[in-house]
Amino acid sequence: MNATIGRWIVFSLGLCAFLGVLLWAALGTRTGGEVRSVPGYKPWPAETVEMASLLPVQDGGRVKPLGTFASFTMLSLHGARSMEIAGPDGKKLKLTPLEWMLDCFFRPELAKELPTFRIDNSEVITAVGISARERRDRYSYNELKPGLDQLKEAATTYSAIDADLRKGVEKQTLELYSSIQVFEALTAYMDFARYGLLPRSESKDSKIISVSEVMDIAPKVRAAMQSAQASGQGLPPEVMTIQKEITDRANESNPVLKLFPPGNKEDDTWVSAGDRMFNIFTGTTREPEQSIKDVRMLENLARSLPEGDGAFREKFSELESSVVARATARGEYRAIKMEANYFRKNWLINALVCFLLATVVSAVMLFTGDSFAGKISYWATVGLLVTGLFNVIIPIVTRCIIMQRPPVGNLYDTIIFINMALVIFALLVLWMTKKRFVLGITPIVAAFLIVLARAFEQGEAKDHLDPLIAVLRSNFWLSTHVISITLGYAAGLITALISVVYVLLRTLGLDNGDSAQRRSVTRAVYGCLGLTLCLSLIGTVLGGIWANDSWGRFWGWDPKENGALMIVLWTLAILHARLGGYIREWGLHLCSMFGAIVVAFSWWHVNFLGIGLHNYGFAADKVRLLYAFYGVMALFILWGGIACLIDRFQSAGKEKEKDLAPGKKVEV
Amino acid sequence: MSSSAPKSIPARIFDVLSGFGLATALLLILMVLTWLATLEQGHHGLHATLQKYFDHRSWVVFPDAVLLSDKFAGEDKRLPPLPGGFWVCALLVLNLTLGGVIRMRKGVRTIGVLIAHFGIILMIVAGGVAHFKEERGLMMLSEVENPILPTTSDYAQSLTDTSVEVIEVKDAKPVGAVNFIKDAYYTDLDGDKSRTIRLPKLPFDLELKGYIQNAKPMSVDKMAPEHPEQIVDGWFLTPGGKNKDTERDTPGLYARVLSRDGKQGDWFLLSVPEPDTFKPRLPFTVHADGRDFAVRMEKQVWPVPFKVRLLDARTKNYPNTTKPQFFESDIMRIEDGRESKVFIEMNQPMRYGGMTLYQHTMMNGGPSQGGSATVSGFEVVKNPSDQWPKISIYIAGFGLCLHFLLKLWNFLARGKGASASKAS
Repeated sequence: MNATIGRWIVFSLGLCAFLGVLLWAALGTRTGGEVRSVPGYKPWPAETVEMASLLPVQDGGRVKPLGTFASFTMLSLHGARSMEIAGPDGKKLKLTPLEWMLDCFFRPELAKELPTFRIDNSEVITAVGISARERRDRYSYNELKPGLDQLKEAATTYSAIDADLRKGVEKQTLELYSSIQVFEALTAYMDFARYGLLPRSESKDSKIISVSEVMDIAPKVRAAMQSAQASGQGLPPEVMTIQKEITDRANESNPVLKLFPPGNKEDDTWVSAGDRMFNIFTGTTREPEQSIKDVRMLENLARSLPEGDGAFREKFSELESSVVARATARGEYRAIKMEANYFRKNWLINALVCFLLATVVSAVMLFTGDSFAGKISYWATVGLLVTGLFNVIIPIVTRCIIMQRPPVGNLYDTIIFINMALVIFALLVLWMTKKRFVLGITPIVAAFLIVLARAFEQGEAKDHLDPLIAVLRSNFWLSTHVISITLGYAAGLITALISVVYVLLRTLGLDNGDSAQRRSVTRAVYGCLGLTLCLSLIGTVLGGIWANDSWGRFWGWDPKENGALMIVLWTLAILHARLGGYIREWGLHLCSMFGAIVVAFSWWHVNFLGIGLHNYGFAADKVRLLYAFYGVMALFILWGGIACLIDRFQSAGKEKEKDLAPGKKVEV
Repeated sequence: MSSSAPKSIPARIFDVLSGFGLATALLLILMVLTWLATLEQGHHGLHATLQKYFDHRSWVVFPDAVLLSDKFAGEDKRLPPLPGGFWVCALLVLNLTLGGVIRMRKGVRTIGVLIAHFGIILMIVAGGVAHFKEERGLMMLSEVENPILPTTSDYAQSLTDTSVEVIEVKDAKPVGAVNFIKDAYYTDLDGDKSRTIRLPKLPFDLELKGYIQNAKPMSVDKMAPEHPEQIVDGWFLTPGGKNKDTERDTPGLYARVLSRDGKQGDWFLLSVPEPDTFKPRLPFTVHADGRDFAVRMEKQVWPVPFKVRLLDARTKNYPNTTKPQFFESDIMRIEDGRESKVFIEMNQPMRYGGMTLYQHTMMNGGPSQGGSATVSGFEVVKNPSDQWPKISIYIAGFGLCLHFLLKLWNFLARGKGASASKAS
């Protein structure tokens, strides 16, 4: 084929992939529908938001900045990390998770107007009598409020159904109900501080009875209860009222925000405002004075809001200083600033931009060849790849420092780690072969993996800096077995990608029939296969040894283990087939492309099977993307297979022509 | 025309057995078997799938058609056969030994691969030894004395294998050795098949029949049996459907006593108790030759050469979550009166006297114990090849890395040579 046509075909394929990645990235947060108008909305001052971002809280088993807590809570309810609304005068505002969370805590009436709930299937709300706008849209709490009773009823019914047998709409109903419960818990958290001991309806026009004041007299209340119990008489009515109201307020302020570090250093369970109230009335706290101080600080904070931003910040600072001092004394404030900074910086977005730019520049390289412009675009591609690589390495290292563990501890970690390894392997191939072929495909794949990481995080809507379950708590094994296996995946993928480049170069005539170029690509694939085997085999067996230490068996036939073994067996089969002469250049590349399917099965597919110790319980609909990947690789294999057959027929024809050439002896 | 003489038949066989062709084919078959077994365990459970794909008794494997489509679920439709995994591995060891060690060229360039082949042979052999020799069971211990679980024990109970136990009883106490009938003698007795088990040390034999892998004793008052002839004193065994976790199955069968004088006793039911009860069923009592015997069916019990006493069981979740942070136990190992305190946790088992004890289960006590862990279960494993895989990976890993580095060195040296010749 004419090389120019070939280049345009490659350019078109690259453009499709580029647009596909961009579209996927954009679709992640799109819901449809108009921007909601919240005319009474007043943005929080930047200083207040900045201050709030560093407040430590305990969530998901670890201490983290309030900003992280807000970010993942908003992601799970809203499906995005920012919320667009039309504020006063129709001015568009973009709320950050922290602003939204401050609204939930301190301006709940306003928060209830915000389009917090992302609904992907309008049937969920129409079924409970709420009129829907579009199939996918976002709704405020107040919009959903008329259907809440029915929603609760439906959720109760659906929760009785076996989880595996629930239909899509039933699962979505349960998810919405759970989101509403989280939102209600957030907005009710500071009710005790705003309205005092009595419920809101009763405390509107009367004087607020502060919960902290009542906590002051807790010993007397307890004594009254004990004497009533001892005498066999019922509790006095005023004590009963206090008991009931305190229990109600404590329950409202209990579930979501574990804000206060315990005084006892050996105890690692932080407590909420509600816990503080419970514990003082049950006499189970060792720090009654601090409990009262903590609740009073929250009361002062909530009541300072009407006095203006300055007064609010002053009270917030008082609360934060107190909590930070205690967290620091416990050694739990170590990484808070680093984590807040990590999420603020958006390293992976920078990396995505670099990789996408590298894709564009590599397209220029495709047409400019060895000219001056070609050399510039070559170095620009390398520079952008390296810059992108640093923007992936920095978050990986930061996550390691924050969690004090090796870089791979969950599936999200594997995506960014494989991305890093893939780019490093590609640059190594470039350095070793001195050929540019690998630059044609690496940037777009690296960009794809960044978008995959973001989509995965968004789909899961959970903090992946989470602590590890008991069996994984071994830094030695995490840094040997898990890293080797993950590097094996990356090596398997880069091998397949180079083979894809081989198919494109050869079938589209981009190599101008240069057999040295082909041999160079084949050698690179052969080397990468060796690396894949080395890493996967060592990783797999190390995993077996770890399993032997943890579960008492070297091999448990867990799907994830089996997947890794399949990579080893496939790579071994290719290498032995090559050594035995059963496959040659074409065969090696076709098999190495199939290797990507084996890697994808091991890395992702086993998680969908719903069995084994590495099961993540993914929804079946997410498997479609995986099938799409299988399909794309199968197409390349088919493409290569057809080209191989044509090549073989042409070679056979030429041989025949040579044999029949005049002057040549022919044996009949 | 070829000048070399045709090879002898043994030489040809050697060529095939040591060839790359066989190696490639075996590796591919093993990969396909692994893939199919991975998918099939979601339908049939791990234990059953492994028995089917990788047991030495499975020469040929017929994958279930359910892998193609869920519509075949429950139907006995099969895909074309493949050789059994155990025998593929065995052939691979032979191929590796003949081709990858004996026939392979020896030299600096191949030293890494040769070493790696040694390592892999050792690894597969370790798997084979474990397949035949490994025994594993569960030892459940309680921190405090209670009628169900002991605080000290010197035995482990198999997770899946069962046995019929017969022991003489005198004054409500066991006398003499227990007679075990291993499950290999009765697991094939489904339907009406029966087998007589000779017990020469006892005054009677036993006839066994109607084995069910997951049996539930059922009263006829609750449910009518499909086969009324199976009713015994108003009870019968009903199949409960195999669990995907085979260790949760409660096998059962029918038995009767055959006296030495040729008399046949009545059929009676035997079944393994539910796994969470930790309590044996009441045995069936046999009176023969003036002596009393108790017969019961249990998960197989095997002795541990030392005693283990549970001192403290601890479990902890991450703060404010239900995510487990650790499970750990302090135990006292008692051997010939000597006591040694040992700490066991996830990732840190106790290896001693050819046995390995792993932290397996942890159960919390009720509110009276403050809700903290009071029961700890240890998986006890006896495997002579326990540490062989570790040795094999050191060998194979060293070999592979050596080979890879040699290749890399050659590659770089060639590149240097090429650029030097270009420059000149």
